[in-house]
Amino acid sequence: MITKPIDLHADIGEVLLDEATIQRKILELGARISADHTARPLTLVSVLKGSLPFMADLMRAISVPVRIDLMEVSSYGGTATESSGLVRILKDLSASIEGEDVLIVEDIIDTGLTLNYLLRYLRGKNPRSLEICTLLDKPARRLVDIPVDYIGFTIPDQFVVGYGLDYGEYYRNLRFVGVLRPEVYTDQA
Amino acid sequence: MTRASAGSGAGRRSRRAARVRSGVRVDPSLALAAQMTAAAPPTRPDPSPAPDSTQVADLSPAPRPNFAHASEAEMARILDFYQVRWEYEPHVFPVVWNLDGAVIESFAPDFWLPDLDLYLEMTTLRQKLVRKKNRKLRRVLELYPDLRVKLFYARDFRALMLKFGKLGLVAELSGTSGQVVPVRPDGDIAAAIELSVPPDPSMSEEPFQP
Repeated sequence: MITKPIDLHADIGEVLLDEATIQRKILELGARISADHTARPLTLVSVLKGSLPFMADLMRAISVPVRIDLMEVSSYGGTATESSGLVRILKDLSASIEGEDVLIVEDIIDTGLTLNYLLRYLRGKNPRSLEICTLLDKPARRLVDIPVDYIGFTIPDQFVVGYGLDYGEYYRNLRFVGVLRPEVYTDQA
Repeated sequence: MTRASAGSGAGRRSRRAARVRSGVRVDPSLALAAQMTAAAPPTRPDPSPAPDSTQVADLSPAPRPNFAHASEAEMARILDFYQVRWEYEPHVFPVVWNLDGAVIESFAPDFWLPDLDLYLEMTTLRQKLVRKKNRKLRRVLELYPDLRVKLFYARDFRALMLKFGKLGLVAELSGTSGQVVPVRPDGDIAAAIELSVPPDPSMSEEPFQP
């Protein structure tokens, strides 16, 4: 939990990806995804909460018919989940994806642990195909190798916030992706 | 944590790798050495059956191993949380032999993740041992090129704790304070925690970046 005052901009040490750069990339991704999915409708599954801004922009950059759905998965260390000690689906899909072409929309892939779990879970719902699109990829932190179909940016091994990504639930509303100053989280520790 | 082990029997380094049981490529001399010594063979056992991808892992309570370090116990909890199956130090890979062919140094990665066919080696105890471990890992990969091993440095562990909002626990889970001090049969605790390793100022990690 963050106890000291948040300063959305002063807490950012460096802007890694500015708004224009992010939007250009999303247009590219949208065009690629549209070109690859002309035959059948696509279901976009966004993983809350971090991928919300990316999902909102990406779906509008896609020119073929899409359905959208939302999921939320508990994260290790959350107080609500530590009692069970197991990852939980906090919000499940609202419609069946059986026989559908599904594209998981992620904000960032680092360890791959959450996505690995999610892939297994969604495969159990028998989609026709299951692909992954992530805005950010941080391969230096990867534990579970997962083939990713669409990657926006491969980023260095830095702790980033903004454009949906948080630290202690804050900074998600920044329009850019920035590197959090280390003193922000070391002071909290 | 790596462990040194000794054994006896034939075996030589620098020989072409060959495929033996379980599909792991190993030095043929190692297979011979494994047959001739009581030391653990340099092979992995047949992997456990792949789980049904539609089912969650069987996480029924099982006896916990005696972890050598608190960071290892934390990693086990993280793997459990995300339902990634693991085994603790299940396999030993000889890496150095004496002229008589006896194994004098081996590598026992901390975790094996059978579904991912990946070994994890935690290196959070002492930063000055990092270069030594890196060297050992290079040697392991020369001898066992098909092994997939990830060294998990102190900075990786810190980054993981930061990601999960547990950075405040890093101090107690890593470094000297996180170790579970094993008492050797002769009662020499200091030797057991490798205090005899001479300091080497060149052995340092890259600066931590979360």
